[in-house]
Amino acid sequence: MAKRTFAAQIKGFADLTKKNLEYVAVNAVQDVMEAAQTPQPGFGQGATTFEVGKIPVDTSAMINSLVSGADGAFGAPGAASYSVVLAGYELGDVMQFAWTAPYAIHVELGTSKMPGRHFVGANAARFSDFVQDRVAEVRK
Amino acid sequence: MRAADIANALEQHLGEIPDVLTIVWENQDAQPVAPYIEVQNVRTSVRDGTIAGGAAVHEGYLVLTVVTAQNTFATPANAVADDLAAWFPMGHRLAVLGGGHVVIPRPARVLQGFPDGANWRTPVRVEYQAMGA
Repeated sequence: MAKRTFAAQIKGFADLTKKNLEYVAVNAVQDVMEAAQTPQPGFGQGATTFEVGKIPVDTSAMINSLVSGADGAFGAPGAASYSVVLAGYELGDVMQFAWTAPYAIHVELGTSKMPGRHFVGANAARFSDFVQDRVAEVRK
Repeated sequence: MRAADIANALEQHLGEIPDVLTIVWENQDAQPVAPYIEVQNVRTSVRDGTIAGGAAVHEGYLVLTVVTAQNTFATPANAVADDLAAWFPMGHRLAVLGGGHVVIPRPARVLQGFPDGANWRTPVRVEYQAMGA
């Protein structure tokens, strides 16, 4: 059996560490985005109640207004546009996501007529929990 | 630790601000004449890092929205928002009924204001963690 040099072993360990870091980063961000894009019926669809942390959908305009980018380069909008960015992610990339519907801020933070849904803030706040879960996966 | 007790500790502290504007608490269907403050409590997670359990940490954030009339200067709203943020300084601890405490883990943030009908809304985000004694 061929023995690897110490340097090769270290490099192998570093490669695995990098791979694991990317796995954690991509999947934890994906967890946030999937949670944020989890739909619930809006009042326009007859809903009488709502859940904080889910995006309300009446016409799908807002859920489809998501634009995603890395290092300032954004792709086409779409409900799953984040998956394209995540697929090409490399450590060090800065990922950006934005809902461009003009009323997205009102839905997120609320108005005098309705409380905020916090589909972004509530899920972004769970990022460290998602990271811990994904770290646990790579440690198995 | 009960979520209701955590909310009570935070809201009681908020209500103790001197000369505070009218506060519309969560689930109150009231629209007083601006200016006023709206409260929303967003509970984000409960986790327990121990094997045995019994050490749950409740996390969430308050959104305190300063509502003022639109087409006026934003300065007074920003000043109230700053006061609200300062009322919940990083590291501040509040006792929770039945034991435990709430702590403010990072500085409260005044967010970008935005128009809403005849009003202008300036949100303040106050993050919190609550844990047993």
